Amino acid sequence: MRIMNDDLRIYRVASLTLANAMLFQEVISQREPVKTLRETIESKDIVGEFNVQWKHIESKIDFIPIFKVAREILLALPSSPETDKALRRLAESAIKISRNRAALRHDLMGRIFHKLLADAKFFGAFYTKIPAATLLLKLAINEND
Amino acid sequence: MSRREINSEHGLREEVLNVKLAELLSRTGLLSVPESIIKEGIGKRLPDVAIGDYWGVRVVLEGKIADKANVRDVLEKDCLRRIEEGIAALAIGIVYPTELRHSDWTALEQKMRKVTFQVKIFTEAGGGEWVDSNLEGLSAILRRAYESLVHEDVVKGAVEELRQSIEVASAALSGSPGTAERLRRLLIVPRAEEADENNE
Repeated sequence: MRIMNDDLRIYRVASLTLANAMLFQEVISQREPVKTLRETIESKDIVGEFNVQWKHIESKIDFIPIFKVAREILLALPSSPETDKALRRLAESAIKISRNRAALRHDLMGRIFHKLLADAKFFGAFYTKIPAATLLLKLAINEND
Repeated sequence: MSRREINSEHGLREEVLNVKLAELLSRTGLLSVPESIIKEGIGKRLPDVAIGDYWGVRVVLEGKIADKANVRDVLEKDCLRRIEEGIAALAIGIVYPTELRHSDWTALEQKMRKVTFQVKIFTEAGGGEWVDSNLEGLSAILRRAYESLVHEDVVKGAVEELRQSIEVASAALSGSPGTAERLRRLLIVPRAEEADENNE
């Protein structure tokens, strides 16, 4: 039972990382020649299509920390109807959230991730709050660097 | 304010009332409105809406005079569009009473302080109800809307949406046993036993 819960934690972190990349893709698609999520999930090879789009964003646009990890997760998933189902569900959710353009402008995503990651039970992880992270960063970086 | 805006044979334009209302709210300290909006008009086109700031939240005032058809419907569409376009987090739809259309410019301020408006507040979470209010009543309405915004219903909704989709996706991915180990190595997530040991 312990092992199952532990695995679930991994899948949740992976799913959140994928959802984050999808939200970025949808927003980026409004300005750049990148496929929308709707177009992407209509493809016969969903994993392949996400891989193409995210590789393009990574190499031609930016946001490497987001898309590199997400793409690695994508490539670690087996080709199966279950994988397609998982990606479709995450993409539908990302489409729904990104539809609220005003909310995106008001840093909704930052607030969403703070709330999700703050739930230690859900991800089995403890989220470092921004002030603590800033302090750690300042301590870690030498002023002369 | 240019004479063209004020003395039109069709009476006062809605933009004039919007700017005047913004000015009055600004003077009472309820809303912080940029000087550029209040002083706009000398030889320039008036803005369609007045934009102010309420405790750090951008507010749009969008008003129409009640002497046209479907003003409420038009206002609802316009206010929701302002929110959707990200122009403001809070929009106030105002239906001005017809008597303000032909008000004398010098008496406009006094009249606006006395009349009853129909008001509806719009936020990211949607619209409220149309209510009657005067200038003083707007303060309580704005405060309530602000509080509901701060409660972050939009965020809660989005978090719930994301949480559900993550659950469905996780359940679907758990069908293939080898995936978890590959993802664990990739994401550098320690096993629960290891995490427990580290926390001890």
